Amino acid sequence: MKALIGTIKKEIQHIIRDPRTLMLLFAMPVIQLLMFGYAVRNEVTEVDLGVVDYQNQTYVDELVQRLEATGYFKITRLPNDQNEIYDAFEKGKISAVLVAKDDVETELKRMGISELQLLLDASNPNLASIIEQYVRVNLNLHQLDMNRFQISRSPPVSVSARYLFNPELKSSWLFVPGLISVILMLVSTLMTSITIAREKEMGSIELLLVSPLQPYQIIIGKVFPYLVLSFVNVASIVFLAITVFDVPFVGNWVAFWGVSTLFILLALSLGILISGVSSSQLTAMLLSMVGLLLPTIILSGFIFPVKNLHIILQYISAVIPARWYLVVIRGIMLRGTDILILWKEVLILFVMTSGLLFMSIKTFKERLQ
Amino acid sequence: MSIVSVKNLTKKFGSFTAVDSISFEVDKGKIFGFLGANGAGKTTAMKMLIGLLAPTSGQATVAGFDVASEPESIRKRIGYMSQKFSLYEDLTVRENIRFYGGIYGLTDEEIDQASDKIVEELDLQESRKTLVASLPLGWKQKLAFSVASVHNPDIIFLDEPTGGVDPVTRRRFWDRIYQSADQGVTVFVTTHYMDEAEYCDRVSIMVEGRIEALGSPNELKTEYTADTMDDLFVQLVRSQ
Amino acid sequence: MNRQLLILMEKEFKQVFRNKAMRPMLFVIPFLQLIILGNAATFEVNTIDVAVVDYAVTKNSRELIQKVEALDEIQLTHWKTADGEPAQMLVDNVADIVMIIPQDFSEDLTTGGANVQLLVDAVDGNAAQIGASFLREIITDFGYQQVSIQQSGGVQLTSRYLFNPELKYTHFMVPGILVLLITLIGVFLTSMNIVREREVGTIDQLNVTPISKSVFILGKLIPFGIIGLGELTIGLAIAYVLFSIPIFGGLLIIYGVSVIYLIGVLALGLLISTVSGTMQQALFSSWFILVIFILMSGLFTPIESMPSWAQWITEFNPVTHFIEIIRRVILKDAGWDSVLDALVKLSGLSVMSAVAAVLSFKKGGD
Repeated sequence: MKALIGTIKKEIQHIIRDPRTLMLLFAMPVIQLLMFGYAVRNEVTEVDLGVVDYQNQTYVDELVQRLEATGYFKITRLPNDQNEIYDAFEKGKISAVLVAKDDVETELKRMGISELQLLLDASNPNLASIIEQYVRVNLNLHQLDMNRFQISRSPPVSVSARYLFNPELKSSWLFVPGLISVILMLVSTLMTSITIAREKEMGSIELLLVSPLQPYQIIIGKVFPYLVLSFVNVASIVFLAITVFDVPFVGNWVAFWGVSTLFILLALSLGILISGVSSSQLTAMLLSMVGLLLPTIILSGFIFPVKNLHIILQYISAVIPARWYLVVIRGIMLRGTDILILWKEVLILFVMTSGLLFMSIKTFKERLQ
Repeated sequence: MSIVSVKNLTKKFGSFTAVDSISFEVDKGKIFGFLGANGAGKTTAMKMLIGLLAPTSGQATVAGFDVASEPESIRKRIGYMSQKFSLYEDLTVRENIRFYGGIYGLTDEEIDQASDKIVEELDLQESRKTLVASLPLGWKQKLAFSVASVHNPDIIFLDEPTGGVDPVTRRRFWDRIYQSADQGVTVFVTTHYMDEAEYCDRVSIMVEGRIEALGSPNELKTEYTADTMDDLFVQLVRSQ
Repeated sequence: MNRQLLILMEKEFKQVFRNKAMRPMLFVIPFLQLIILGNAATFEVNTIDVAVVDYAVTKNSRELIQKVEALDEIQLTHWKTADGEPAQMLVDNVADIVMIIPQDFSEDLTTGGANVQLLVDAVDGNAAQIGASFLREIITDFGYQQVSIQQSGGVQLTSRYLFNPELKYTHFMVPGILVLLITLIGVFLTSMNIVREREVGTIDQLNVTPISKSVFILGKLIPFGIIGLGELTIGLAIAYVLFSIPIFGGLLIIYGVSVIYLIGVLALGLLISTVSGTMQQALFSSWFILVIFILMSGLFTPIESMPSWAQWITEFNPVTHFIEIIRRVILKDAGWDSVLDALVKLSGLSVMSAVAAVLSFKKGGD
């Protein structure tokens, strides 16, 4: 037992003394939290909207005022000049242009119908769709308010939408819980794989093996600090998510910690497994990063929804543990889903964890014989 | 005639003095052994002579050029074999020769001639396509030396060239060094193997940054009444 | 001196192509990444799981539901005629949107004032918005059809999508991923290669030769630059063949800007190599810096969506500018004059990077 504590202490010293390790363990998660909490998002906060008004009409002025009042639009008046308009689009100065060719009020009086044209920079199709929506909604609201010449009939079937779980549609609420899985891959898997691989590389692992310590004790000794760190990381991220980013936590805490513990074990086993098949630190790093971290970020649903992936990619995604973990924690934190409903995902995680634990210890033992 | 002239050469790293005001001369065409225990400052001193480190104080000239102000001129005239042999393991014998030959300005013709000569010397005819990585250690050593001499330098600096090989291979390597010396090349060798001192014309022994002994092996053995250089060294260290 | 440079470059190429570990990293992984990421990186919504709760159960309501179901994008997961707690389906994560048709639907339809309620799972706010708006359009459309009125009256908004009329997400993402590719290769290759020479000891050997510092640096960077451009070429070919990206309009600009960009990127690799003692340190530092650069580049999420302080930071990110340029060139057919602003910023950053690298790289290895 004393020897075990000794190995743990040594591991902690290693961590503290290596500035790069510290950066990875502390700076990286914080920076990522900052980025995903504040910068990396899909919200449309300000649309650079150009307005071309052939007739210089009051209707357009009033519409523009309304748009500006929403706070979402930054309006630039543009002359009726094709070249200038396209130039502005090309240089990325505007995202959309509202064009009023006809005299709207006259047309409405005469024919009951008029038209406004919206040119959208569809380079980013997602952004374009959302901008179009914003303009359309505000135009409709404007009409209902104005309603001067015609009763612009409200449609026969109107649709009212209520947004549940994330009424303000914040990207950070989607990303920040997902960040937990990424950070765990970083800390638990990457670091664990490196630290064991380092001992193998330096040959000091043989020293440990010759000692009275059992292989499983060696593993525990090396892995324990990262186990603790993992819990600390999960707790910190959840804490920050709730306090700083106002992410809700409507579900069951016990379920959350239960599944998270499972996932932490999974991540650690992965790290051990990777170190088992790696002859050097470099190999371990490459495997962890290219083989695990990258796919996790891209295919687990962390940023890009799994549902919209190509079917082949969806199959690949099924193999990535984080994909299942994400469903569970988003369910628990944001929806308040009952853990029993999530049995399928939890079972998959459980099977993966047991399998990995078994394989990792087996590989570890084998490679050292 | 001195080809290397060192006066009060000093190197400090912060408050730590690695090389403490050493002075010596090396004559042209001689083999000079720069001895000392690991950490005594030999490698640091040599790095200053070949222009890899700037001296903190003192003076040194190599092949007539000042090490602090004219390192580029020195580099053209010297050869160097580092501790790790530093051949490119993933290139073939000929490719290594071509590379270093080309760097030192040899024409393609000269490179071919040199390659042929070296390959013959080292008996590597079959190994045209083999990468250096697959050569035995002793061959790598000799190859590294040949490559270091490919541009006919005036003086060759060897940093612990015989590390990790058996005594027989070491002896053979020293044969190669003699060959070069016979042709007029000055050889400056650092080593922590005291028995290799016997092979040198003159040696200096560094202890903790200072030169504690300087002279030919026989001179020194007489001076310190020692049978072998090993004994001499032990005596020196004990008296610190 | 020129000959020295050629000899150095010759050696570099031989080593890179002979290195078994490097080969997959250079020739397989980047393109695998391009293909996978090109397909995966999308915020397009092509599957919406809809659950319907129909309290009316009339011919009209059934017609509406069938109209909705008929769409490819919609997957009907539940069709209930009674449910005490429709929102529970969202909590249980069995649907993205619950469509509720109230009891008086048909009656209200005849008087022109029917209403359908959508409960939308907004965990993914972006997808929620798009999904809801999609459904809303369908339902509104249905309303007009039913009552046989033209969708007339009022001010109509006609939208025209410029530069990417088919709204292909790949056209937006793939050029950016190409940039990512060159960046990764440039930084990793350079930093790890130089550190490896230091680890093995050949750098010391080189330092003693009459090679000047500039020849040494050029001897490393030019080959890696050429390899980078080679990767770009293969990447462009894949973009064209697999993703139908129109690359031919701006090839000259793309290559020209790539050269400027590569100078900065390779210099960054050089810079990293000066602060790293081992290969894994180089790998780690490179990756740390690159993650930040990439996330803050507008590659995945728009710069327009960032808060102003973050947008300000992106100005100092060369990746941002290159991605902006390549998107303008490929999607908007931009010419040199239209990318000038971004190009100037990029060049400035490349120069700064190069200067910093050269200054910090001491030949002496002190």
